[in-house]
Amino acid sequence: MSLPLLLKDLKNNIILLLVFVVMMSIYLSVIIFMYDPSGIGAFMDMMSLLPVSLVNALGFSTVDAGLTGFIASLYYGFLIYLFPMVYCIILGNRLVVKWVDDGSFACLLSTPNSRIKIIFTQGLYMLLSIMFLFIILYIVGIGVSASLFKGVLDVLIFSKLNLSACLMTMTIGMICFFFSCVFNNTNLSLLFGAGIPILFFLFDMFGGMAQSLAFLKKYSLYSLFNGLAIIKGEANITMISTVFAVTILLLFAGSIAIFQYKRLPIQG
Amino acid sequence: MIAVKDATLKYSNGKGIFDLNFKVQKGEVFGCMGPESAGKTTTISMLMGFSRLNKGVATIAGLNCAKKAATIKKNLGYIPGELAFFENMRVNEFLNFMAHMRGKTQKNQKIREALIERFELETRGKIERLSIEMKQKLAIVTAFMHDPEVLLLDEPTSNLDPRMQTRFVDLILEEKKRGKTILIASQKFGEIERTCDRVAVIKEGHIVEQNEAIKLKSAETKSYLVKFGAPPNLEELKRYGFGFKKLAENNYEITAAGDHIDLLVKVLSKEKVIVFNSNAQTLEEIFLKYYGKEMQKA
Repeated sequence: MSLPLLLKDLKNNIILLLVFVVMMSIYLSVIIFMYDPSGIGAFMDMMSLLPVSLVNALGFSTVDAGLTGFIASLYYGFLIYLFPMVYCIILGNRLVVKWVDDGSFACLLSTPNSRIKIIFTQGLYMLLSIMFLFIILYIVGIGVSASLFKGVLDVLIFSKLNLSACLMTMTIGMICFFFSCVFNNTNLSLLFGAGIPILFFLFDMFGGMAQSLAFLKKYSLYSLFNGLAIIKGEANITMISTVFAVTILLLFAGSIAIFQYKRLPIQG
Repeated sequence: MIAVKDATLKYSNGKGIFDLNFKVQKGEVFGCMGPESAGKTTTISMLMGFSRLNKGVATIAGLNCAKKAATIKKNLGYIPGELAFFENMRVNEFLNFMAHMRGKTQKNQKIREALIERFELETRGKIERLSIEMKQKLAIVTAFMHDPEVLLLDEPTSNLDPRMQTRFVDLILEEKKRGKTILIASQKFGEIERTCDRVAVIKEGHIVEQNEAIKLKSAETKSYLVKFGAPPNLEELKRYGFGFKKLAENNYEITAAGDHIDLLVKVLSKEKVIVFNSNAQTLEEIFLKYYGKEMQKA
């Protein structure tokens, strides 16, 4: 790991990270604020205005009555896919392929740092920044819940939700990162690095929309993560986390290996 | 110091370098000549470890360029042919970053300051705002500031004005005196001629001529373009063994051995000389021998 490079990554991308941290924290706070302990009437009234298929697609159809369930379905059901995915796509592109494409990667390689070390640092920044995002969300979630509805949030389940959502996002991040390492051209990297997560997202959304499309969910990484199943204690957190963690490691190792051996098109 | 043996690196478009062989001794300045896409940059790309070879081996200080790239870089300075920096950084910030990446921060501060002063590099602004000439200067400072033993320079003066080109040539000559090993890829005959001990001419990925003779030829025989006010005494020139070629009425190209220039001046002092120009085209002539047709078309 190269510390100067990690610091440069931080400096380059801190604004991007903060935008997502702030935006997602506000969303989480608003959703907790919308919770009505006496029932979820107000929210369901609002949802009834929307077409049923849309409500299903967004995963809002089965809203649990408790606060934790409320958060799980409204926040960890839809928003947790979309926003971090955008973050991963932008960051993944910035960390490697952008510099390869515009040639500035040559600056890094003219210093006594191996490709392995450089790519490891870049991937590490991806994972650390996602971890930071979820730590903040965890703190915000617990903090806002405690101040508005003392003792109502099931902290253990909320932790499990956050942990698996964090690992899921890291997996998506690593997919973007992987293609950023594979390709030398920003457009190709985006085609796959953004295309695949978006496909996962669409599969998951359409899969929830109608029974006939339910098979699509099988092909989506996002389906591994199911907020409501975690709430009901039906999900095997250890298994899910392991699958995500192994996928992350494989993609990371693959990124490094491919980058290590490939030809860089630097017009040196 | 630098050794390339049977190096072949093919690109998918059929270009690349083929069976390249050359060596650069420690303390030597080696020039790589050739026009666009002849293989100069690919040669440097191979030495920098950006691209692995299909065949053959390239080493610097005995270390394999592809496998030991990071170790080699400890003592290597590099000027890229296509200037690309982190555009959103400030110049000083970038130089600091590069120094940190190299892990040497304090030791070489003086060298860096001297280089900045020498090339009049503007250090405050953002890199994206710099002119192309400033960027070229930044590349030079970046390559030399850690006082490396080996330098790989791709078109190092391409964007410099003549005054800065001269300063760059001086820098190369100083570094050479200090025992640095330098490889320069360039299309400019002047700077190659003034700095390099040996020259290789690359054409379509092959080295077509490589020896000291190229350099020696240009050192041995000097050529001058002379314009006379009246028809000169050609017999006198002939008698002292100078070669001459009539270019136009009273216009001659006169050639003299490197150690007979003072004699030539004495002989010419008897004539009415209007113009006396040094014709430093020798290397270019050799170059044109291989590239004549293309160059004339262009």
